[in-house]
Amino acid sequence: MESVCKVTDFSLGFVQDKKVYPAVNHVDFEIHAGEMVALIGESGCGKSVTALSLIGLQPETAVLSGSMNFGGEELLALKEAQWQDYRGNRISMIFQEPMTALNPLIKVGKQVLENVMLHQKVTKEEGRQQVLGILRQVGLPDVEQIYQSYPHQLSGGQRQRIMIAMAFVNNPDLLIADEPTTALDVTIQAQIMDLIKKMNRERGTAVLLISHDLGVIRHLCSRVYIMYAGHIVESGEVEHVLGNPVHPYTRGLVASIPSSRKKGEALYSIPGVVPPLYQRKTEGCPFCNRCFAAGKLCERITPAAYVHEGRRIFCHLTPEEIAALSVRMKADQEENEGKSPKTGGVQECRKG
Amino acid sequence: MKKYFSSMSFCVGFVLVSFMLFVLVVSLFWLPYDTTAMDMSHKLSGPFGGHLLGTDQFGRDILSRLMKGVQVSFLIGLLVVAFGSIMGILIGSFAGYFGGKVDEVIMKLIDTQMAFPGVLLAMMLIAVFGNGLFNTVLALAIMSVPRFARITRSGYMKYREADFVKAERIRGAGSLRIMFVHILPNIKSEIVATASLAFAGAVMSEAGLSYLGMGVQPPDPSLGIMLSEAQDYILRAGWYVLIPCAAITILVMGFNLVGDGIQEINERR
Amino acid sequence: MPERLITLENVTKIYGGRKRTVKAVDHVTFDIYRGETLGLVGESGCGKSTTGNMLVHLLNADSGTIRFDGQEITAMSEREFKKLRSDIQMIFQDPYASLNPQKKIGWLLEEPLLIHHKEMSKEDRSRKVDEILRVVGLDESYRDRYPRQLSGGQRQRVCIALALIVNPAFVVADEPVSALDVSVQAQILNLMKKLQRDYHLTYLFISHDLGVVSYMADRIAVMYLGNIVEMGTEEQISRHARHPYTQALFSASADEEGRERIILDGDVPSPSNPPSGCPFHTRCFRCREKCLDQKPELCEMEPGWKIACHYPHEWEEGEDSPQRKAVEV
Repeated sequence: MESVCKVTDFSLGFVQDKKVYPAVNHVDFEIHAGEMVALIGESGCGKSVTALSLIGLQPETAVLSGSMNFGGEELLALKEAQWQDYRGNRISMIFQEPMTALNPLIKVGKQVLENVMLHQKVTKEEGRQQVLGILRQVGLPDVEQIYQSYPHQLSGGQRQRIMIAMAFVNNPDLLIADEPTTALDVTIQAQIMDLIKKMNRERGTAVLLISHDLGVIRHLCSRVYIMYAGHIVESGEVEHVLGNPVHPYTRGLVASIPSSRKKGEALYSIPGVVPPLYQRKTEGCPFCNRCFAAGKLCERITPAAYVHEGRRIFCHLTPEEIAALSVRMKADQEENEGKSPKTGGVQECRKG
Repeated sequence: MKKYFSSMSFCVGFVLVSFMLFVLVVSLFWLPYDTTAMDMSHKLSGPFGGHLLGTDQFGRDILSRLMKGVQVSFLIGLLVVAFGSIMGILIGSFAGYFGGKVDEVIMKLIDTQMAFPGVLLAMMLIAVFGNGLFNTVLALAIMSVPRFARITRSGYMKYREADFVKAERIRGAGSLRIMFVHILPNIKSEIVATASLAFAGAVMSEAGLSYLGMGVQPPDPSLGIMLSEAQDYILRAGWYVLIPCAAITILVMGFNLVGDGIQEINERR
Repeated sequence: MPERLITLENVTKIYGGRKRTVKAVDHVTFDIYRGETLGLVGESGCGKSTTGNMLVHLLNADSGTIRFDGQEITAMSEREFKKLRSDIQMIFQDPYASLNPQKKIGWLLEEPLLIHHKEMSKEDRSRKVDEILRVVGLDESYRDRYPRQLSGGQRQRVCIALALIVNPAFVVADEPVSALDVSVQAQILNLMKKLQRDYHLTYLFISHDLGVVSYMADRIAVMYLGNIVEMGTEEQISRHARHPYTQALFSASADEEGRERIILDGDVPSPSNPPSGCPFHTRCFRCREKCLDQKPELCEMEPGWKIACHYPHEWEEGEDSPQRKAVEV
């Protein structure tokens, strides 16, 4: 399959007091034309800065290395002036909070139109027709009236539809959606996700979806990359990776999601916390201090990837070994539970 | 405290204020001459003679009078800030925390007072109650109440609906406890910044009132009185004018810069 | 029949002044039984947080009655309610905003004891603080830390400790895990379950995350525009929901693979200008003429299973497929 964007050996570090703190380490990923790919990870795992780097909006204190190949061009070598041809045109992005991404003082129609005029050689009237067309396509009612509205006159869902219209109006090759529905209500979330999927199918735009909602990802995406503390730890087809996770982190993540089915049993919780940026080690497996299967080797050497049933896993152990050790997950759990005394003195207080 | 030194204005202000504080401390224990002792044989003698900063038209030692004047400025500044902040914080707390009618009435009164020229108000008060240190302080304190009340009120409005305040109510904390134990410490740096600016304002206004003859009365020295007495000799003895001017400038600028620095850091957070 | 701890009867809360009023909660009636977890779900602005705030007496109901353990608390003044404060506690959504940043954890934990147990000696208080810290999985070293020095999960543990130190019977948890990452979320949910077992707590668990609610709750109430539209046991609601809104909500939940996803049209109407008749009719895929002008009452369909819909039996699984859009995967 033809790939739209191929990222190889990408690293990103933040410079503070002349020291470099690595936030993303030697990450490889690829997005094929017309597919929807998900990037999953907890906050602080580096997924958002990776996405921002793809559109050249990484923070100023970041230093990048590696390669981001977009349709034959090297994105990391682009100058600010050259980025104008890419941003909002060939690559576009949808953010979490639609209100802050729109200018509150300009009518939304005009904001979308501006994006058209900036990148296409069309007359104003042609541009306007194009905008009305895309507004209709993203499912907005009364497009003429919406065109003349200010952002505050629209609901959260409508604003996010405007953002999607703006992102798709120049027919980009790649759309990056960074948690596009977290700020929205549940039923509106479903609408917006449905819309992104529809646009993806109708226009053949590749989508990189950053999310932590595994349900949505299972429904919409074909492949998934799991990120932990700046490393990709597992990647592959959604059904395989999320349905039958292998890497200890993915296992932990999937097991810790509450649902009706897990009622009555304690949820698995990965012990410890994601280490903060300035405390991360440079050697060894990033997950070894929280892993149920970690051994001596894991502390010293960062694991390389191996392929198993069509997915890539970054671990020193084989799937069979991990599966055998996964009984330890239960033991971990009981240990965590047993930490606090079963009956404390809270009751005593009432009597006293 | 340490974080404030990353602000340039705070550092400069801190140095200026420290210098004046040093002068103040020295003056409390030692003055070169008696501040009211006249020496007609050495009228308007220049600096670096027997008197380090020279003498005035009655032959009094300018350095001693200046040091005493700085004492007066600090005293007035402190009293004004103390009275003004206590009143302002109380008023602002109640207005900001309870809101509604109480707030509306209080803020209307404060707005009315703000619309009134400050020095005019002080002059009016002094005209009614008479001259003197206490009345000057009272007048200036009343003038500084609105700025404290406003800053406190806006702080309370910000925190009134905060989750931790709601949580305190659920834990059974009373209104007074929430106001003064929980919210007030959260806005203390804003209040300190305001106090610093108010201090500078008080020093300035005192100098102005004394210059007009409505503040501290001669023969007691004050920076304002020195300035007003010196103006007649501006051509014959320029240094005599410059010295109180410089003292006022250092004091006012120092406190203003400290206040600005604190505000700058608060906003950066 | 289990014992009723909380009873709400026709509780209504109206916000706003003379000109524009918003009915945030509209004649809501339900019970919470001792020792259970009642999940309250709905979208933003549906009145679920307002309901929670009324139960902890942060807001006063405009009409209707709320009873706690048989006592009516609706019209109580703050002073009268103070003795109940230690029985009814709350955990907030944002652990960053719900702790006073200027105070140390130890100080914060001692404060409720100072307020409610004036007779306790200093040593007793300090012992109690250490104990509660251990109960929530922290240790004594946290006493001298400031909230900003803790992670989100640790802060939420402190918030739970703060709620439990006065030994409450009932805890309102308003989106307690939605600000946390998945792995931390699991820790907090496990802790809450364990504490419920150990201290016989009753929870009102407010959330918009259906997975979390289904996992935690024994019974679930679904709110839409200030009204309860369906209420029943967790299984009834999450698997066999009858109300079209509940069906749509739960059709998207994560573990129900293979279930058809129902995507509702349009936006949630503004609560300041709610639709006539059934509040849900503007987005309902089963809307009939009757729904436009008659508001359905919350009726008991089976014991304990209540629903506010004119046509609850219209759609049994398999029959009469409603107009819905399914997303192809």
